[in-house]
Amino acid sequence: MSLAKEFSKGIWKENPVLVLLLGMCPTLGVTSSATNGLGMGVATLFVLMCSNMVISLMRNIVPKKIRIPVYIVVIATFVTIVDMLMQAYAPATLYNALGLFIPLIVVNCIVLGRAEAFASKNGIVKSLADGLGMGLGFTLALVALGGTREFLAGGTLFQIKMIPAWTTDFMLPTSAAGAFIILGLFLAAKNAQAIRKAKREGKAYTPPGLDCRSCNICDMDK
Amino acid sequence: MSAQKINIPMLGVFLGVVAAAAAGLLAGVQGLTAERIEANKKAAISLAMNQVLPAYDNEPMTETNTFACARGWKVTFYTARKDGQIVGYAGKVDNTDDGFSGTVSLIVGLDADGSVASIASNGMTNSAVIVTAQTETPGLGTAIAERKLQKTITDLFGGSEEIPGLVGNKYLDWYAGKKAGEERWAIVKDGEKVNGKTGATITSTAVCEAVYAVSKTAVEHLDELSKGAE
Repeated sequence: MSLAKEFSKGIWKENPVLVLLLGMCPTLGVTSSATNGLGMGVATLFVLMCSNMVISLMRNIVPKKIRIPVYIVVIATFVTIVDMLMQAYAPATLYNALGLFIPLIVVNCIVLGRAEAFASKNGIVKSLADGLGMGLGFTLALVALGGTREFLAGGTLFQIKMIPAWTTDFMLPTSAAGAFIILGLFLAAKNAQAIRKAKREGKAYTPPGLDCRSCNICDMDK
Repeated sequence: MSAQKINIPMLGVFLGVVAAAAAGLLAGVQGLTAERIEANKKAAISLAMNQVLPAYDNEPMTETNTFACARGWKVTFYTARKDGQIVGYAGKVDNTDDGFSGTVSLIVGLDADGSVASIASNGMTNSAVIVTAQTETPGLGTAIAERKLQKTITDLFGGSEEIPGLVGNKYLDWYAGKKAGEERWAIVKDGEKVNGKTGATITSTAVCEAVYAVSKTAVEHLDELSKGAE
């Protein structure tokens, strides 16, 4: 695949949230507003690019047996750096809202998933493109979800009131149940679009799952 | 497996080297940011303090007393003076464990007699209560705790001016002028003003208990407070 394709697949065709369904914990947890979604997305994007870069550089020297612990150490290091940088330089309100979720980026399956499925097998430039694309796709999905929830609940977007006369007590979209419902609608829309597109091209739609191309477990003992 | 023997010490050393490199990098970043993080925390406290205290000319940050309240929380009082006379205290209580989804921290401005101070701003009487940290349900619990100016899209394009000072919050402003007595405060409606929100009783009670604790502790220790710092 060309570099442009490696970059763009994460944004739409293999969007980590809407297609691969990775990283559901932050997706549902922080998207009560568009601002929170954006902050979480950008923090994950940064970690994803850094970890993809380092893991791609180390891919030939890391022994297969201990690659997962090594990846976790690399990812945890970058997450801690993001945490400290945000505490020092990000607006206090953003850090207060995201504080709880930043350490959880360590176990965000998108980051480990891309390290294992992509960066450990590809060169640094391709891995950076993949990390950037996946991170942007994650960010866009989070902002869309957060924006929808925020708008439905209070008529606001990025904390700015769009419709002055809007009820302030419609709490379903900002609750956890509302997050599941709206994410479900998003997934349905994304699937419908993919199935229609495949039909128009005369093919059957197969979701890009975790197939043998992106799994290393069988190689472990070789 | 049999063809290649696993060299466990080598794996251990490799992991050790990676971990050591990570630790070195983290130490470097921490060295770069620690000062700023500390300054940010101080700035947040002093900003809140300026909003809840009347005009003062000493340095309240250096004149502090800490007491434990009946609930076991530590309440720190910062003394504000003007021309040597005590004009008020800022009581800070951190991480009270009553919140709906976490802890609540707040700063309360008190008059010299231990009652919650009132602050006139923008033609309204606000109470000197600021919630500095909370993790309540957005839109529900946060409505009680946040003093946030709601911007509208017409403000954004119409270029309305930023109004300085405290933003009103009818739940927090209920506490203006209240002084803790023997009886605990309950969630009540008092004319136009209420201190609780339907559907967010736990958050309302958490804030109420915390403000009460600050005022009560101040009243109980007024003698020590009026003597100045320990």
